Amino acid sequence: MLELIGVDVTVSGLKILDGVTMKVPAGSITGLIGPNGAGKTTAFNVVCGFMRADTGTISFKDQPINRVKTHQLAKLGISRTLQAVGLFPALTVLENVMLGATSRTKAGILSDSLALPWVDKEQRDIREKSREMLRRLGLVDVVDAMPVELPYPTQKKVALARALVSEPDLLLLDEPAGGVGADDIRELATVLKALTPKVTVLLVEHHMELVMDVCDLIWVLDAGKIIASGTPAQIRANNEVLTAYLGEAEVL
Amino acid sequence: MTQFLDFSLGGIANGAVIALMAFALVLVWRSSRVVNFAQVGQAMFTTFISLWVYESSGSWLLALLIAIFAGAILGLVVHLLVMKPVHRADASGAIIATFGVLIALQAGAGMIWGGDPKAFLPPVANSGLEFAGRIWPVSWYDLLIFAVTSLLVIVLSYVFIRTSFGLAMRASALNPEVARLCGVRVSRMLILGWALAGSVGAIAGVLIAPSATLSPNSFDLLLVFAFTAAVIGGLDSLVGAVAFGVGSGLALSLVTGYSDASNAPIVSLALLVVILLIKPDGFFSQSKSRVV
Repeated sequence: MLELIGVDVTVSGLKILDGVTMKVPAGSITGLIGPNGAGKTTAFNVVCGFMRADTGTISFKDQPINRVKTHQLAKLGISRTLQAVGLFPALTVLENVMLGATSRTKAGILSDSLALPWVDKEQRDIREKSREMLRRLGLVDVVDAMPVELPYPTQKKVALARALVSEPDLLLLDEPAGGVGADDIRELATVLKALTPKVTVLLVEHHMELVMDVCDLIWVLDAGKIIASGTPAQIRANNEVLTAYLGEAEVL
Repeated sequence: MTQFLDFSLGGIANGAVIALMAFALVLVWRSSRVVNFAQVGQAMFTTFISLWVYESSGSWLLALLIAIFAGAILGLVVHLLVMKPVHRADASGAIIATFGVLIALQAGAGMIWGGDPKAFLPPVANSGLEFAGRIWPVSWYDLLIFAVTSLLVIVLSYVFIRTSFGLAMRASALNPEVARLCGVRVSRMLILGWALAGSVGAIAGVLIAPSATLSPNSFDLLLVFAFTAAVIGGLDSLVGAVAFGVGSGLALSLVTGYSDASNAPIVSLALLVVILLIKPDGFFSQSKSRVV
């Protein structure tokens, strides 16, 4: 589904990603783990066009997407959540999610301003679809709330709803369990497992229990290089990974 | 009391135009986070074009339509040629650049059309209506201004609040990067924001021109009033811009009526300072939630 081949990223002389080659098989939940500063978020940023790779290829469904612009990703079928949640503060929960759903609509400014009948219908569809997604994630009570009024874990769920409502083929999740309690993490695991195989998931996460529970395949990044890959059991038994995580070894 | 009513009524049409210009400032602010001081310059320029069309064709409606079109083009040109490159280099320099554009447009208009004030005749009578045995300080033209403004505000509010385009526009202003992830072409939203603001400003220009004369500097005061209204309204808020635009029209009319017209800008600026001291975010701003 997604493939990085020999990707280098240098930021002001510092090599953040160094020849990163990794695959995310279609229909899988693939984990990308590594110590802080290993380059996990940079890998995400390169995939979604926030940063450009110096060399190497990034391909999605066998098509290179190195030069694809961020706003085109949603249409291609890639959607992403951010570590910092990134909900629009002045929009309601429903509007936030609706924005995720509009990437596949065709209405433009002129037809919108004239409130053409089919635009009206499209609007209603988007609204209904967004409500449905919020309902699926148990957020039906907060539809009209503003993001700041919600507890952090709920905000994260809204961000997930916004990413899912565009019906992505590939979902990039940047630390969805960060700052979230045990119950919510269990719920998240259930949600993620239910998504596959229709949706392929690439998960950057520090919460090892979740990673080991849900992932089919794990890639380990350390100081910009891939140092290991394999099933959760293989990664647990890998000495190099344990060394990279020195001090955190017990969580593995 | 009658005098108070007369002054108030007389201020409404003026307030509507201030509201439109404030609306244009808010549109640009929301899309680019820049206060576009050149907005009145753009409006002055397109009003000159409009006057030329009006005089040669005799059709006010055509002149208005041309102004709307020219306003969009000029907004687009200012954004693409000046603001976009400057903004990329230095965001605070962008505001100063808008002053540069204002001065350039005023100088350009002076070279093309000369500095002498020109008359822009209203399409309908601009003298007080006679009703119930007295003459009121409201003319047919005032009613026309009010109708055009109301229609525009209603349509644009609908677009912003109820449509995907409006949602995308608001999202782009709040967080461009996340908006892009949601599939919004933020650069296009910026262009549309500037073009739309240009058109709205152009309409304001054509509407206010008959109330005075048209010269390269004749909209300078409008900038002061519209800027005040936009800031007091919270800069983010279209509702705030309209409410305080009309409000300042009323206030200015009362100041002019009870004292002297030359006091109006001073009162406007004083009001701005006082309100910013009490309520730095303005009245309708959503930036509070942004800070949290």
